[in-house]
Amino acid sequence: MEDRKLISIKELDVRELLEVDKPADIPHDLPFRKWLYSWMLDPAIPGNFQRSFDKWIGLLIIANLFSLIFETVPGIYEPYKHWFEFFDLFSIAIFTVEYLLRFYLSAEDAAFKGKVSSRLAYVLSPFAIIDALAIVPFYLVRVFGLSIDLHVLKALRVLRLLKILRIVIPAYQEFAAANRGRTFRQKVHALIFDSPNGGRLHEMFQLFIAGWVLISVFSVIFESVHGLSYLLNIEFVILDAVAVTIFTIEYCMRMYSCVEEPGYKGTVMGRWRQFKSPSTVIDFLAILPFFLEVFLDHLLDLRFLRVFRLTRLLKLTRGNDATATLVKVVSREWPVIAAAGFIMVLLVVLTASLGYLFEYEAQPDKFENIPTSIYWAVITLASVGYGDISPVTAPGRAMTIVLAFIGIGIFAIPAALLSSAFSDELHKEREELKNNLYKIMKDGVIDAGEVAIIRAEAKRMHLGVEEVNALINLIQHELDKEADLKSLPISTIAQRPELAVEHYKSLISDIRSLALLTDEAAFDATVKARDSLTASDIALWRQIQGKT
Amino acid sequence: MDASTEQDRSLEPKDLTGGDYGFIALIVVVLIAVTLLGVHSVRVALKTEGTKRNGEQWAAWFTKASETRFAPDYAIAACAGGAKPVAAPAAAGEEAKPADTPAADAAAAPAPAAGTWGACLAHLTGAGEFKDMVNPFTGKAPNFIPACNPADRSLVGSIVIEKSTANPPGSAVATVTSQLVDADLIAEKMALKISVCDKGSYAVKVAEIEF
Repeated sequence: MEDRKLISIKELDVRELLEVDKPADIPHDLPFRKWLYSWMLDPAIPGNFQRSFDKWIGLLIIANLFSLIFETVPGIYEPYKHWFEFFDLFSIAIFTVEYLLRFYLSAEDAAFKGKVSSRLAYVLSPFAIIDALAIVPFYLVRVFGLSIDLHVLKALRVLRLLKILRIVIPAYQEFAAANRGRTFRQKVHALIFDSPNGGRLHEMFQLFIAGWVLISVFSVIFESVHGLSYLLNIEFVILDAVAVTIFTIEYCMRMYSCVEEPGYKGTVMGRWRQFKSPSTVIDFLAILPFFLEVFLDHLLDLRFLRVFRLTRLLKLTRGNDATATLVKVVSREWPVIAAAGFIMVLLVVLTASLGYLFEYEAQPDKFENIPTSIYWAVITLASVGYGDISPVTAPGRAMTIVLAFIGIGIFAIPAALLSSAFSDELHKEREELKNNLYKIMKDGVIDAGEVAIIRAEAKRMHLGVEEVNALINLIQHELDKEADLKSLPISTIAQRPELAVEHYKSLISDIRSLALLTDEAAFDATVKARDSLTASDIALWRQIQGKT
Repeated sequence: MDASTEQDRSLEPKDLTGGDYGFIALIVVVLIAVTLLGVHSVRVALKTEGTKRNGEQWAAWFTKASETRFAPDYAIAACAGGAKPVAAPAAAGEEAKPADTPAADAAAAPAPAAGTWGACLAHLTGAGEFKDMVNPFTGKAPNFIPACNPADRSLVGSIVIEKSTANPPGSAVATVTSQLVDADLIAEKMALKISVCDKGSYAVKVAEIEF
């Protein structure tokens, strides 16, 4: 069984472990056709150009979709008609080369190899028919001069979009195989949420949603440009309606299948927890303006809600660990940030009141009340200094000097706090990863489950091959040293200072690992209940934890 | 039963449960509902497009007329340039008689003086090429109003025609824009701005043209 395969850490290939594409190992002495097939189209050879080839063809298909849409808008099509025609020619050229390449190499394709005529079998295969439909109308009209109605020709060009099935169908087949025997809800869950059963179809789904988020956000931005909004008003409305349809369906699927997520069990309570989660609230806010505008438009002027469609951009933060780390850091440092905020508010109110006191008589129109002075104080404290309100009296100016100096420090505090806490958090996560790797590699071998953990952790912390390699080498080195030291009696280690230092480091590292892995509150409670540590032991424990 | 058969059976796709059917039904309902709402939004947007086309028709007419209306043989006398205004049949100080109906009110209203925008507009919307123009939101002839106002939804689909008047040299603002009213003289060339009120009674600028 593949899952039970064990890899010795001495033979560990980090590139393979992290699924980083290595250059394909294809012999140069192969016959040309086989060599070309191996490089360009063979899905079984990792590191060849097959995936890149599919990806670029996929992007060209999507570009064709946009081209088709924009061609329907005279305001865009007429001035750039030649560019549209050039792009059409370019697409046809690429699709023709692709078709001919697949036709020529079909003799090497396992799907057609055994057939009497592999090329005829290829030509009659569904994918090849779709590929042919994408290019044949063009040649019939341009080369053979066939007269086809313009609308029919445009409809035939839409068929190019079917080429995307060449990428989607294999991903679906992979998804179906990985989810065989699972319930419908589990399949929906695998498609929507990150899970080992999602595969490429889940990635495509995420990409699809991210694509629509970007389209939708750009349409909100471009809608504010009068020239574009005037020309493309209907297109913007249709885009918004399609985006809302997609996001609403995604929302329903997420709410339905969330009960398969650990921590969200329970038909009602699980879904309620999911409903309250920040990412789902964002999803809800992304679709809400559309419905409010449709249902309440006759009662209220809800045009301002359109700007809230930009919250859809927040949907992209789902699954982004950097955002999760930032949220964690802010919530951890919240008391200190709140304290700094309180000092800022205090300072602003105090200086604004003094500003009002000193300047009111000299400039009653500018420092007319304390709220106006608060505006001046904030602009000065934040070092923005618009200059629309400035003091003219000597005490007012003196206070402004002090205020400007304090402002630099006060506004720097939260920034420094966040930056330091963020760095600490990253350091902590790296230590945690190191400890996890250490535990995984302690027995000298890793299995498929452990490979998945390393892969996921490396992805979460954005570690590259070199960094994981360095980490593994470091752990390997420590393991070697530990093995050496552990075989020696303590009296021997004690006699050799260099060994004693290493042993001491190893012990400290063990305690740090213990501190990281143990439940701190439960540890303290047990110490308290059993009175099992002396005061100096506790002090040392705290010191090693970095709490004193 | 051998192990392989047992394994094969465990790999069979599981049947859909009642909850699954419920979810599929919900998705279908949501799909239909959102599509209907989308179609509604598009229909409303198409009405705004229709209003914009109305504005564009006016802009096109003004542009075309600006090239020919100063010629002595210009066909539409009411809109011809260079003509001196002729006094209205009803005296300015004369009191208007009370009217019972809007039609009677219109009939009772003094006819606009020739050489003014009022006369030109009356001709164009009465017997001229805009007599069949329809406000897509109301299905009636579009109103000409001073400005769109989001607080007043009755103005949707209306048309705003403003004239730009140049200020004396050295003024802080180069031009002043005001509504083109019936009494405005059209004997000379003028710069116009056409806007229409969209579905929320917000102004959508259509064109800035010369007349």
